[in-house]
Amino acid sequence: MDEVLTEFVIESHENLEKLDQQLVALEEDSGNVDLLSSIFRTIHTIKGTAGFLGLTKLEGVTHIGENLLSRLRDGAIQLDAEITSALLEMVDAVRAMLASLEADESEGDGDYTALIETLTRLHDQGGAPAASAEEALAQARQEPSAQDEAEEALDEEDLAWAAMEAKTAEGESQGSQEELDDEDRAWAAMEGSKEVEKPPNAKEAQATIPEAAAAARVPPDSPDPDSAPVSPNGERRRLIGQILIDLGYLRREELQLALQVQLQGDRHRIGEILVSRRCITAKQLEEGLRMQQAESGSSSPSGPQVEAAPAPSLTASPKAASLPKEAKSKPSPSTAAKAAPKVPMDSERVSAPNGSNSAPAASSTSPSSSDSAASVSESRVRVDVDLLDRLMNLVGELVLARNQILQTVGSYDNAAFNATAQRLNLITTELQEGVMKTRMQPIDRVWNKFPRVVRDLAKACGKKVRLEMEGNDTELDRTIIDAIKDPMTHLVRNAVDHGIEYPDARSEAGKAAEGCLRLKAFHEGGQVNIEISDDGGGIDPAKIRKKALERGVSTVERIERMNDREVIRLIFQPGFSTAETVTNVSGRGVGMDVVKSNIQRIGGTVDVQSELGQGTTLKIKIPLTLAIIPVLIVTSLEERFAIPQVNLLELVRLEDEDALSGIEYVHGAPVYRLRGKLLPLIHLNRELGLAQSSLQADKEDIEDNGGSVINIVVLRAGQRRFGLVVDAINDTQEIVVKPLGKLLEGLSIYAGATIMGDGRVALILDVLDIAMRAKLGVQEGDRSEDETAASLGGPESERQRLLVVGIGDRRFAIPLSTVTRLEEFAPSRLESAQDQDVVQYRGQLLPLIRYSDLLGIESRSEEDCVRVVVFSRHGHSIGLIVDRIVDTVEEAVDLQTLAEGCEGQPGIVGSAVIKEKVTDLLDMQALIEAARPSVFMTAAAQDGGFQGVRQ
Amino acid sequence: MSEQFCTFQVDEFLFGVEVMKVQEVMRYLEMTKVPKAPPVVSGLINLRGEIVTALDLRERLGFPRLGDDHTPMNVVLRAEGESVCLLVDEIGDVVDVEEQNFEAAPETLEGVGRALIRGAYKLKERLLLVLDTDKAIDLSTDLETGSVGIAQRPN
Repeated sequence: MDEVLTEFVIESHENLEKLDQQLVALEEDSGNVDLLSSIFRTIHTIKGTAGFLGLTKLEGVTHIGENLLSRLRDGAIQLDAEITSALLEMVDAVRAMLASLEADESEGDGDYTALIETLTRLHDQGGAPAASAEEALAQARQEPSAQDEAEEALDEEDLAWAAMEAKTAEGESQGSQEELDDEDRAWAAMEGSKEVEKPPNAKEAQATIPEAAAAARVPPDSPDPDSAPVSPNGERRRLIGQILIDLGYLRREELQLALQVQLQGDRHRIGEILVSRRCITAKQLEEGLRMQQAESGSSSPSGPQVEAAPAPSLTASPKAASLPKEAKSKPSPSTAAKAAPKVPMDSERVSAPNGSNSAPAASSTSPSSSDSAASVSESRVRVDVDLLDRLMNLVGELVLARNQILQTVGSYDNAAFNATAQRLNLITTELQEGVMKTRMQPIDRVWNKFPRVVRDLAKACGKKVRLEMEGNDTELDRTIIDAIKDPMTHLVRNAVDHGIEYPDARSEAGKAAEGCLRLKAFHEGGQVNIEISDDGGGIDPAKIRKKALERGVSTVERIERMNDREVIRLIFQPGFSTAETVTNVSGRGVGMDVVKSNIQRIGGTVDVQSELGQGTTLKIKIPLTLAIIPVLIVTSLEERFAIPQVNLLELVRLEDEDALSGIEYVHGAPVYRLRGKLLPLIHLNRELGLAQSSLQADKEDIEDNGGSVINIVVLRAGQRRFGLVVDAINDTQEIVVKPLGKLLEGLSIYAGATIMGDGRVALILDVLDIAMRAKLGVQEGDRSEDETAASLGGPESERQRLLVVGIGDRRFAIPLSTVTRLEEFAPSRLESAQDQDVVQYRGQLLPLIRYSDLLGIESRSEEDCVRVVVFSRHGHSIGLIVDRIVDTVEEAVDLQTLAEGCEGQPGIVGSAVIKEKVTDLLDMQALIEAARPSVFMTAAAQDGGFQGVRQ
Repeated sequence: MSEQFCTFQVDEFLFGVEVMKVQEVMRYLEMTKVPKAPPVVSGLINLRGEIVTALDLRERLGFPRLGDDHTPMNVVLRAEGESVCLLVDEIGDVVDVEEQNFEAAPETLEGVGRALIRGAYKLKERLLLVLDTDKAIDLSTDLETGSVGIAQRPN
């Protein structure tokens, strides 16, 4: 495709994305001039370029749209739902044409006459429009012009626009003349946005605007300070006419007459007219001008900038003028002034019809139309995504080569080589991070279409929905952005269609008629969390139960045993939809299960919480990137395999006796008792090979291994847990995920492949697929997991993972999310610095807290090593000395807060019974504050500190 | 009209592939086995950072496997945007062939041979069998099971 055309298509696409959002926002806040101007500019740019490229159809549609927008901007008509819909439809039409341009360089054969008619009708509805677009265009052609043919062709658009504008304004002013008091009109012309001080009724205000605009449009090509009621720096200035009246040199009637003359086409400045009509003397004028300048305090702002100011400020005035009637929109001359420098292009064009010689100025200055935009585009470049992907691959290679060098570097006794290798290491890491960043995009890329989706859908359903978004700038890898687009859209549509009730139902329930849909995204623990919550009717477990039986999703006995939370999770089952009626939006029974599997495919999880009558929240957790992932390397069948750490829960190693007796069988299915719960086991060797799983084979396997060791990798696949038995566990690594070739696409057991440090290829296991192959039934698995949840705590209470440690006789639980590592040090390594126990740890001093001292309990460590729980935040670490590491548990903690007398125990937020023993819960933030190791405090405090125990 | 063919030996036969389809020819590279893959997939090789699937041409054509004492060579083909590697016994020369010496596969050729061999160029010494690479690397190509259908042997 032609380069110019390509550029145009790309740019317009970007602008259109913005447009949807802006239009919806404008509907909410119809007085927002900035927004309206921005929309106007976007459409104008598309129209202009389309005209330049000879895309007549596109130009036609945008042209009429632009006219409508300009009427809106002038306040001649008010934005309503119908106009918004029409404008959105226009955006769709433009989008369709762009898509067609992209495909085959034609504008497509779509018929937009209906749309154009609608837009024209809406355009005309606000009052007597002076001229149709064609007439204006024709008039613009006749406009006297000093330029040659070519230039005229280029300027045609601008002229047409301007002519249009002028016509409209004139028509407007004539139409409303009788209704207006003459004095008021002149006053308005002079005062512009000062109108606020002398609030007219709404009708008058409307009429005065074009009038004032027309007056302001008069400024000729020469700099004229008295036509600038608002200086570029936002100060308001008295108009020269007003000053002269105030000085007593001029009668208002005379000024009015002068203004008439100016309006009728006299291109002289108002002051000059007055002097020539002998209303005032030249001296009086000078005095007035001096006064005006002194008032403005600015050193003669002149030139096109000054001229640029009035028009936008006047367009802003409808808002100000209508203030008395609609108190909600604020009068903001400052907004108007702010808008003024931003839209020099539009305001310059305003002066076009008044003098043909000002037309070239308009066209020559138009490139500077958006100074801010220009500077942004200068510091940014567009990059082909394929190129980024290639770079990413190359960086991946570099990382691997680096790893290889680092592996061999130790065997050379060459300081220079070692240093170089070290530098290579650092640079590669930074490069990798940098390239990763280029692929990151804010989640807004997906979200920015939701305001439109929600608006359209809410309208179609006859509901009122407000969309709130938080964390739009949360960044995700491009591939993930693409992957969540559909599931997210589905969930948002669902929330509007099924979640939020009809306005009358909401009112009956005592809620605001307008429903609220909230999207929230934030980073946590190396993952991105997305929450979609509505304050709608919630999910009725009784309905789900009924539906589940009807659809045969579950059996009667099973459903009877489920609690409400488990029941609600049934919506993720295939073939489930509870919509009373199947609408064209959703409710066809394909939905939540697809959403779930799509999110699981990218290593994410999705959960639902709902309270009847209160609303529903869907929580999605997804990894930041798919390109480079941390994995656990295991060996099986003498090959290495990578298991994504997202799926990894823990590692269990059974030795000697345990290896022989640890694995038990439930009717032939191997299981292991993990902290009292049966964990189903899968032998990786057998999953990959052809051997049948049997009691005998298992025994032989163990004997083959010398009967000594069994390695179990405890994995999570969706809601299920299982143990994968492997030959050996190697280590953890960050790997670059590479796709398997087309030939192996069908092998779903692998999620991809990677190249290891030694240059050999290793396969990445797809944990979900392995679980499915092993017939860990989805429903059974989900259930057993849910039962665990139910037995541990009520459906409402939040479960959390805790590390249980022992100090003296007491047990303490620490939220596992705050723990970085567990370490053991020889007592001899403990040193002292600034009266603080420290240990050298990873090239830093690790301050140690002896909690036993703080509490005054006796430490009872039997072994000759110091066990330390390490906490880290932003490069700062601190250690807590404990006697024993007891266990990690996942429980819903029923916290018993302490009585008030027990405050002598720093860091304890309460107690709970965990695994049948009374355990104190530690809040690391409080504990660290109590222990006050100075090194750590500042950093931790700055960074927001540790996350406490959720209560 | 002459054309260049890259030749290689599989079992007793001389095969040829159009030179333009061959990306490179390499000695034996270490491979990672792919459990659960069809037997024709020998493994994955790391070709300068690209992961390439290696297909055993002997297995594909229904010949017995190569003995352990013999390591195969790699003929890397460029196909549909990705590389695929064929494992062969020996690499031969690049030969010029004349179109007039080409003959389509005889009707008596059946099974896998008919599917994968387009025909033969009559060289002075022997026959050069033209491999249909597209079909050879497309594992979904339906190959009739049964005996090797190459009925005619070079004299």
